[in-house]
Amino acid sequence: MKSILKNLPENVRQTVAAGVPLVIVIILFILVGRFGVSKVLGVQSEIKSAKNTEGILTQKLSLLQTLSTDAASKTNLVSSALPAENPSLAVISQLKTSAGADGVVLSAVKSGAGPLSSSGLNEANISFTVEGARAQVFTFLANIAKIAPITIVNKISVTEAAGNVTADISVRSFWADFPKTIPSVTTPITDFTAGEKTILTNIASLTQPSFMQLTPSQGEVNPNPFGQ
Amino acid sequence: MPVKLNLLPQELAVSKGLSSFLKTTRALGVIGIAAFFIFGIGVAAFFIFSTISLNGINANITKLSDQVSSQQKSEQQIILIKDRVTKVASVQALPNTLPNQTAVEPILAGISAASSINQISIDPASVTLSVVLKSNSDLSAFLESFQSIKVFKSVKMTSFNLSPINGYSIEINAIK
Repeated sequence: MKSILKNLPENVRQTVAAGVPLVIVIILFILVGRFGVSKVLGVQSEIKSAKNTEGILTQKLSLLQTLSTDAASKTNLVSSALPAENPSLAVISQLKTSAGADGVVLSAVKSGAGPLSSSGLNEANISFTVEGARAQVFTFLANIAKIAPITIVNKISVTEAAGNVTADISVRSFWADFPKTIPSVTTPITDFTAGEKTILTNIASLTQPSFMQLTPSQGEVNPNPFGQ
Repeated sequence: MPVKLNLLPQELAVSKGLSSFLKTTRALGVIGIAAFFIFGIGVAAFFIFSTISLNGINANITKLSDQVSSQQKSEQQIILIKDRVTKVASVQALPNTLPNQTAVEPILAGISAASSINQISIDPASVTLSVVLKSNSDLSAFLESFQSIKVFKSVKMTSFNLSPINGYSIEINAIK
């Protein structure tokens, strides 16, 4: 290299000697700039994404801590309003309780499965006959919308004779499978909207079915179960 | 008086213009090297600072993830509530007889004790009423009550009979 430079004219030699460091610096600027800046931008992008995730998690944790206080009671209410299994028995029990309270006689109860809707809702069709005074029958009909599991009246056919009303009623109740998966930890969660809160209030006002839990009887232990 | 001496051999001398260009180039080279070091140190420092900051955020994310995971039961409950609420909303949107029941009740309440209702059929789309009204005033009150209800788009009288003994026997079909 030195011998090559020595053979060059002095003008060229000095120009090369002065220019080479500048060229090297420019090349270094380009190389380090491209590599370093891309690395820094990559880290900045990761920081932005991580801050976003951090924000989601902070908001989610705060919301979970706030909502967890009454989530359990609300879960029971909504599960009762729209259970995971066919609610026919609970609905019939509720209808009988309501009929007793409204002073009408409920009979000829029939139940059958309805079609599966596109939204994943299963349907139970229940038909029955109610007898009583007109006002009481209509009070009973209005109260059907106030029972849990959620029930809607599909058809009413009323005949009246000598002040006594006989109503053949067809109602539909619903059930749907519970959600089977929960989203990933970093998936954001939102608070209940005003519409959802209204529906929750409506659900809370429904008459809940009352179930009895029978405990096993405490009998004496038979010392010889295979004896006489 | 100072005497300007040029001790360089003649073959090593460069022109004045080139000399000033070389001076500028050398100066630029020195400035470039200094700037490169400053730039390199700056980029490295910023990279290190950003990495430390990223590590801090990631550590916080891990901590928050653990805390969120510990609240998994609440999250499951909230997801269940939201799922049920959405489905209850779709059930409430289904057609049912309640609006028609509510609309018909004041009409039935307005019928006098002397008159009677033969048959009522209510479904989500329509109401069919068959009544026997004893007097003119009962008849006009009954028809006026239908006029005052805005629920039904069409109200048809499908049958009208007058019997001197029973009164007016009327059948009405109201469609939403």
